[in-house]
Amino acid sequence: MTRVFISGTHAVAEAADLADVKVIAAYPITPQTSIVETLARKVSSGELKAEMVPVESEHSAMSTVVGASLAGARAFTASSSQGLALMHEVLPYASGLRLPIVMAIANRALASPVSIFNDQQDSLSQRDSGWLQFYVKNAQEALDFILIAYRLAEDPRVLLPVMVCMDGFSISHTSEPVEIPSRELVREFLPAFKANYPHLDLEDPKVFNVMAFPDHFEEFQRDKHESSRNVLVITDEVYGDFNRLFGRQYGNVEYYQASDAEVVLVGMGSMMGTVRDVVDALRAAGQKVGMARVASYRPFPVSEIRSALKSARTIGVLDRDISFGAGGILYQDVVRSLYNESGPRPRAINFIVGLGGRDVSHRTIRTCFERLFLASDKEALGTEGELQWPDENEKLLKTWEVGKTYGN
Amino acid sequence: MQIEVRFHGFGGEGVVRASEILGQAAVKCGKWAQSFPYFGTEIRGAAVKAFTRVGDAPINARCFIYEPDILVVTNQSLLEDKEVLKGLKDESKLILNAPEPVALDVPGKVYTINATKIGYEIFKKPIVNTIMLGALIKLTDMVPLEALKEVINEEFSKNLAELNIEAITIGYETIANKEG
Repeated sequence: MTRVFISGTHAVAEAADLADVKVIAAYPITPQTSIVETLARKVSSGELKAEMVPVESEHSAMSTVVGASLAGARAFTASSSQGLALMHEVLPYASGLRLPIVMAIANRALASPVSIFNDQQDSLSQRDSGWLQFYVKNAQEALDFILIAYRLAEDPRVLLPVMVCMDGFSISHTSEPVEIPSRELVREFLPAFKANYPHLDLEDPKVFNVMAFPDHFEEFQRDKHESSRNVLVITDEVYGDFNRLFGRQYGNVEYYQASDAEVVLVGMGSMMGTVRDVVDALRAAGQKVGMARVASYRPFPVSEIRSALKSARTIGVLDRDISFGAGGILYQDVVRSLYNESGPRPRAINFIVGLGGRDVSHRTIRTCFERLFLASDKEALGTEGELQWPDENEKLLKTWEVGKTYGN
Repeated sequence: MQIEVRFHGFGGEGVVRASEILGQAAVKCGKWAQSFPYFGTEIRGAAVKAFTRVGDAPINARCFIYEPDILVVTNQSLLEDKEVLKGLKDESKLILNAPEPVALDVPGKVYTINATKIGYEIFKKPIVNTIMLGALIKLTDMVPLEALKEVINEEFSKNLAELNIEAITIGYETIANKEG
């Protein structure tokens, strides 16, 4: 095991190499590009024995890995933002055909306006594609979860494709120490690939992508749903094996100081590291605060979130995304998890933060905790209400007359 | 214990590379570190920021550095942007590339080094990043000079490594451990 100082994109490329992927197809897009650049170098030098397919679009990249996976190869791709959006049409084929493809996402805002910077709108917009989704907090986790993703995707109880999502720039382009495991240990955790699902075979021809009539279709969907839920059952075993071999323990939710906390901030991705710092500072000042970082977004760990949060007085959900006209996307999942709880439920506030790369600073997080304490003491939520934008620039909103009707 | 460094430069001046080298040297010494850039799109000549955190424990923060312990400015003309000097504290150190000492009304200590002149002497070009890194570690003890040299030997081709090691050494020796 060696400890190196590398970026998130580099860590992901090392992971794909360690997973011994056989087909890589990708189209460049910032901030993903350096993942496949690194892999292209490895393939070209012969260090990684894989087929690198330079395609003309992300739609073709996804189509290529679907084909490769159907042919029985371990396949990998990566994308971001509009590139992922262009894959949209093909994503449900990958999940519907039950292909264990792994894709790294370097999260980037969706246009328009154009932004190369980070939020999680791109992958959360693909929520219902049938893919599993994991959100990591740093480069080490990005590497580790590519390996975990293949192990889960290829499990006969699952057989679904996985997106491993890391925040653009704040993980993808941040260098930090990363432990690179040995190939021998990785092989023990993730055995050499042998397609364990129906795949192309000249000796045994099959038809793929069949038509399902109304008397069959629903059961296909139900099966995908149940297989996705199976992940929550097998992750104990998979994370346990990972910890035994590599000495890092993961969970579907990461908690910090949450068990006795009065107020808890829930969120996903790299900003939760900053939340952890603020929790330390506020705890030192005697305030009972905690955090819960959702690592497995699909499947969503409903029961786990319910038991972890039900005794808090107030929870805040940080969303680095916005479902226009409704609110944060993660918020809907978290609040829904608490709804059928008997007895008192915590009050909940949704904070929209960090869109298009806006920095989520210690001050942002302190503001969120302050507002949660204020809300705890009120009879009802104040004028700020349930959905808040703690870092919004009021001057810009006024200048641009945001929300005003145009014309006539 | 965590030290936070913010670099300001123009695209192509190598502040991103400098922040990476610093982080890498710290990790070599068994410390924890984090380096990351901020730029619009990668254009030569545009203002660029880079950040490095170095600590004895894993680093949790994932945001910009607003109150740097060390501020490195590779070009005096960057000071026209008032944002550049923001966040300096009484304990902060500002390392500025300028031909002669500049009077600045800021908290903390100000050190100037004529890195452009040294750069022309060593590289025949205005390359200043490794010169200023040498100055930085002299003023902070963040990493030993040897660790920095080791990283440069690994990261650069032989010829460039030799020149950059010279640059670091001269930066290290030139910056007087006093203000001015």
